[in-house]
Amino acid sequence: MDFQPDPGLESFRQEVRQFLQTKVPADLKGLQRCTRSPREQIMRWQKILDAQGWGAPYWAKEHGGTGWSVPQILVFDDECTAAGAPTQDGFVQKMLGPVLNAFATPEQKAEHMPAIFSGERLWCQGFSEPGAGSDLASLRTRAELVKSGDGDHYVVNGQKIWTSYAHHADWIFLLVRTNPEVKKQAGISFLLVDMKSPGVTVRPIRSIDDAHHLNETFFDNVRVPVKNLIGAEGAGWGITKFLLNNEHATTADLPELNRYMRELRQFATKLRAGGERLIDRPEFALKLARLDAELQAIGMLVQRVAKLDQEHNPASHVLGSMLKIRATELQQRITETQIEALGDYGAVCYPHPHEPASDQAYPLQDLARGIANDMFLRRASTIYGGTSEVQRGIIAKMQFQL
Amino acid sequence: MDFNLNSEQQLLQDSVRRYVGKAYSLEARTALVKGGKGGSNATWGSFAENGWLMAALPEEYGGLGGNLIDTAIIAQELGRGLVLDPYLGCAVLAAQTMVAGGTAAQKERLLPQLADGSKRIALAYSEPESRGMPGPVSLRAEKQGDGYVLQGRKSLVLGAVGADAFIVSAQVTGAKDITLLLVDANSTGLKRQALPLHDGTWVEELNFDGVQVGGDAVLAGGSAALKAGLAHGIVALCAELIGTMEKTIEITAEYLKTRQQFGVPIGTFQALQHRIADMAAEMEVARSMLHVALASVENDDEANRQKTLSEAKMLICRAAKFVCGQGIQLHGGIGMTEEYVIGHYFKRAIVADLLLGSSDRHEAACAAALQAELRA
Ligand SMILES: Cc1cc2nc3c(=O)[nH]c(=O)nc-3n(C[C@H](O)[C@H](O)[C@H](O)COP(=O)(O)OP(=O)(O)OC[C@H]3O[C@@H](n4cnc5c(N)ncnc54)[C@H](O)[C@@H]3O)c2cc1C
Repeated sequence: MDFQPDPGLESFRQEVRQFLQTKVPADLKGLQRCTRSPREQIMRWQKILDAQGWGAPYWAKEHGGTGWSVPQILVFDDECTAAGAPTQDGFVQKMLGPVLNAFATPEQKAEHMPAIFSGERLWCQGFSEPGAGSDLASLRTRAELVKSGDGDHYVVNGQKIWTSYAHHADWIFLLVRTNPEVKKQAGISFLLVDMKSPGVTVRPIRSIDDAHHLNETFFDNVRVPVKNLIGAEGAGWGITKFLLNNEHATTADLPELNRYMRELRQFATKLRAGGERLIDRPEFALKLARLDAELQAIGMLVQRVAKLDQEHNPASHVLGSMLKIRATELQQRITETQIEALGDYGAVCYPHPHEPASDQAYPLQDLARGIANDMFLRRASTIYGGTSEVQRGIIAKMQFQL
Repeated sequence: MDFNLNSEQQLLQDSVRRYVGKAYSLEARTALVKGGKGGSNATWGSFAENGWLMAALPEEYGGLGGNLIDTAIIAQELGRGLVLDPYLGCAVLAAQTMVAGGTAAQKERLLPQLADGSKRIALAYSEPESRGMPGPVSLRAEKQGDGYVLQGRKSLVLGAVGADAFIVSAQVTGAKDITLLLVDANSTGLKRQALPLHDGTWVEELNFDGVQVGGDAVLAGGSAALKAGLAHGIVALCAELIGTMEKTIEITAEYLKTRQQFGVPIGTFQALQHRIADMAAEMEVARSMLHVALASVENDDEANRQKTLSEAKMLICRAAKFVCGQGIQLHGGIGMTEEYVIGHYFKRAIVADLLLGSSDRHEAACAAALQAELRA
């Protein structure tokens, strides 16, 4: 063991910070909270990152990424969040990208990578279905191979649900059933589909955080060229497991957790109750202290999981599930504490941060807007990316063979 | 002690439940949320016709002479249906503060109108720094002639939208106790801003800039009357949350039986069986705490009652946040949608926690009471 900080890390942090100070246009700063930034912002931001050579901050050098170490990546994410930079397209950076790097053919890479780097193609994830959530392998969206003169293609029919940002996406990575005869995991394939294909319909679902990011996505005789199949037909389940393992580790959202804590500290000195600053009230100070300690530990757990993952150590999956459970619960507790810190005003439904403010300013608006939206959205973090109950099952099974 | 409802109480519960079941379907509620600023005149009219607004008011002033248990029974049913109308703000907080602290003339004039629903008043006592507790009060009232001039601000007044008047807590210069004043909603110098809350109800932010009232606006009671009104309010809010938890658990249990994953109803997973058992146990502990609070209001002296009410507020609000949060969790993705009802129960639990003093503030009050008791 050795807990000496990486000697180059501080200068790296300064480099990132300076880049963010000078290169993020003012109109792109400070809008997003934990939901994704609006489409135009993500696209503009991606171009700026790409121009800097940082178009794929999480990928290895050989795939055109920055080749940053885990601590560097964490610093980068943290500084971006702290600076209020727009979010990236997480679906492509953290989920699809690694899949393409590992499984795509050179032709597929040639088609998709340039658009990913330039930010001209945003993606969404089409896994869940109304009848297939935790039991993803029971999915029913069908893809039938049709041989024809103008190129073999799949015909896709079915419905996906909870498709985050489908209404902002240009393409979707989709799980489909190509063979209903075999064991359910073995009949699943991984397809890339252009959202503009005839027969694709997106219908909005409004969520309790007062926003539209969720959708239902319908496929009605959608033609998908066979060249858009990733890996072999029927190999979709293995690819999905690879992808979901990446997802578990990133759902900790450490930069967001850090941001929540910075905000909470700010509330502690700015807001008052009963004639005192919040931080001078013992009940608040104790709460803050507990959350602060837990965040320290979670921060270190993130580093441990990432390191194991980098070394392809299978223990990273169990630890990743533990991290997912505990970090998402911490997200819920810190955001609830934020709401409580706002006092009465925590109950007010401020205009959504992505929508224009109302004509008449709400009291405490500068501090409080968006806080509740995050808190309500965080109820989903113990659901998406594999529910906490399912994660617990994974831990019991993988670590203890139960 | 008798934990069963007597026949009259049972009748009351049945009638509110029947009405809420009909008038507050999710579709009807959604339409009310979209169309107005919390509830509607039509539903308020039904509340009045059914006698719920007068249930806990004294008979001599047009009430039915019922007590806090009646209020709790009504509130619990309203909680099951996520009713938006300002029962808590107008029929409980303001009305009971008036009962406890109004002058004979004020009560004679106002209470019959509150009882029959022809007038509404709201209680404006919270401020940004008092956060739902009765003090500290920084709104100033300066003596002018036999009346007062008001300067200051009240935050998040429950039931203010559509109210005809407010009971306002104020600090008169030089006075020891706070003063309660009746202020007309259309007074010159009173600026009102309506704000929506997460649960679909609305409140108002009030700014008093030189608002003048006459000497007859002063209530007879001060902070003691305000505390009495708040005691009723806290019990009503706690009872409402019991209803909210009950309904959350019923809906979730039903879902566990119907939702299939891995070829079986998800209710066959022991993890979820244990969770819903915990939710039910949490609710029954909370219900028992409500009974403690009701018993305390009937039997205890003022100091003990305040501590018990604070204990009830924090324990029941925390239970409601847990139970309703787990309601979402056990539903998975569907629990996150605005169009499905379960998330709205959680929203109500979140809002309720912040109203009338947050769990944290009441916990601190309990701690202070215990310190005083044990150090003595
Ligand atoms: C905000 C949000 C964004 C999302 N974004 C996307 C997206 O972009 N693309 C996409 O494909 N999907 C997305 N999802 C879907 C998400 O992955 C699913 O919601 C999740 O997998 C759970 O499935 P479900 O909603 O069908 O719940 P269910 O699987 O029906 O679960 C209901 C309850 O049963 C429990 N349960 C289920 N199985 C077991 C078991 N074996 N043991 C114990 N308990 C169990 C669950 O833990 C849960 O409490 C998103 C979801 C949300 C809420």
